Amino acid sequence: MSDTLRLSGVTKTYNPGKPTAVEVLRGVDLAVAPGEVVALVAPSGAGKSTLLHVAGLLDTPDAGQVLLDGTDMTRLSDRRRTMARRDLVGFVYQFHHLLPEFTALENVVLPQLAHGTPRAQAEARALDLMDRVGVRNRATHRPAELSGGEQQRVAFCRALANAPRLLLADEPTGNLDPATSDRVFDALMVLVRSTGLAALIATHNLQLAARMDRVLRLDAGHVVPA
Amino acid sequence: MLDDPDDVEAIVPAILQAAGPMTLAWTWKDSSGAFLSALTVEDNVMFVILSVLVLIASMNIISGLIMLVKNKGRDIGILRTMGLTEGAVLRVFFLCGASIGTIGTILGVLLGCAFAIWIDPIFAAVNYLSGGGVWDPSIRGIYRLPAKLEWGDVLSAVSLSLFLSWVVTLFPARRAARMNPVEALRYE
Ligand SMILES: Nc1ncnc2c1ncn2[C@@H]1O[C@H](COP(=O)(O)OP(=O)(O)O)[C@@H](O)[C@H]1O
Ligand SMILES: [Mg+2]
Repeated sequence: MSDTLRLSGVTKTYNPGKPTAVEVLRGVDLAVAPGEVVALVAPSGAGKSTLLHVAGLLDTPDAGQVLLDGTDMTRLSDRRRTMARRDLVGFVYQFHHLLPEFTALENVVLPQLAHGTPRAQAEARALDLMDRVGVRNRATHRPAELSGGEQQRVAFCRALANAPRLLLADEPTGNLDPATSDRVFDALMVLVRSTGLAALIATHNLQLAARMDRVLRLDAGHVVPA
Repeated sequence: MLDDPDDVEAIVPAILQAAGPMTLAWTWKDSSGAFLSALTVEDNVMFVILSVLVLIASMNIISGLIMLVKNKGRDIGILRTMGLTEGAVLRVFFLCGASIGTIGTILGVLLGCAFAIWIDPIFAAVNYLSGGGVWDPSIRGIYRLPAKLEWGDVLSAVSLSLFLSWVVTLFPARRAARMNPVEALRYE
């Protein structure tokens, strides 16, 4: 079975050729197997977000390849990459980025509607996901009416709404106090384990990283085992 | 006799025919030619002025939409990461602008037609509210304001404002669609 995510020789430089050029990734090789949860640790500014964006097809690498489920996505058109992202990848950010005008439930339903799922079915799935992380009773609340931890849990549900193969999380608990952070992380692991998807989770919290299957370090533009 | 004096040209050849050769047809349109062409010029200039007004209104739609796109940068970014295509984002903002244009056009047509149809009562009301003396018929000898509702005029006004507001909406909508989701979601 092929890896869910594979990066080989990925490089990325911001503002190439200018005095302000920043060489962020200098040949990243990494693989995440199906069902595996991998931590990516590095200090702020090391390029974690850049790596996740490249892996999630939001950004294109300067060189190297990005394979999702064994398919090379690097040179596809923007439309094809958007489709692949919709069907294969779920994103979670440090901030929940929920749409403020919609309820928690609608936020989780939305990506499914974009996917073409009928509304009733989408709502059933959304409620099921929200039940698993303990925010089902907040379904009709707007994001502004939720606590930070609850917002982030809803964001997890949204990321998993389309049953992706890969979850990319960028410091998902970086914005929460330690106790909440622990519980929210537990909720994330419940979701990931119960759906059996692969996850690459960037964090600078070593305690959280230790609870994952494998820890990788991003060092001077290369990914090395920690 | 003609029902509509505007159709005078239609019977000129028949009259010439009946009167035989060596006849000169001199219609009322020929005798007041300068006045008539002034009216035509006024008609055209009026249309240009009103078009400029519609254009200004469309600019308002543009600036409103540009602000909206700026404010919604994050949301657009998150929609793109969810897997909405550029086309889908474009449609969202196009629908937003086009519906403003369409609702505006409908309201404008309703108000404009109402105004043309009920010009006399409206005029009387204005006269009453301002204490009379807005228009003294005895001075000019015109006792009512002639307002005629021409469907052709309505049609050209509707198509102009729909066309302008829809076309103008495309620019901010395209800007939203082309937005780089990574840039939109940076938070450091
Ligand atoms: N659009 C950009 N233009 C220029 N430099 C950038 C851009 N995005 C990120 N960088 C730089 O790339 C480096 C890595 O950024 P990032 O991937 O956000 O790191 P991390 O997520 O690990 O904190 C930083 O030094 C940052 O300043
Ligand atoms: Mg980051």
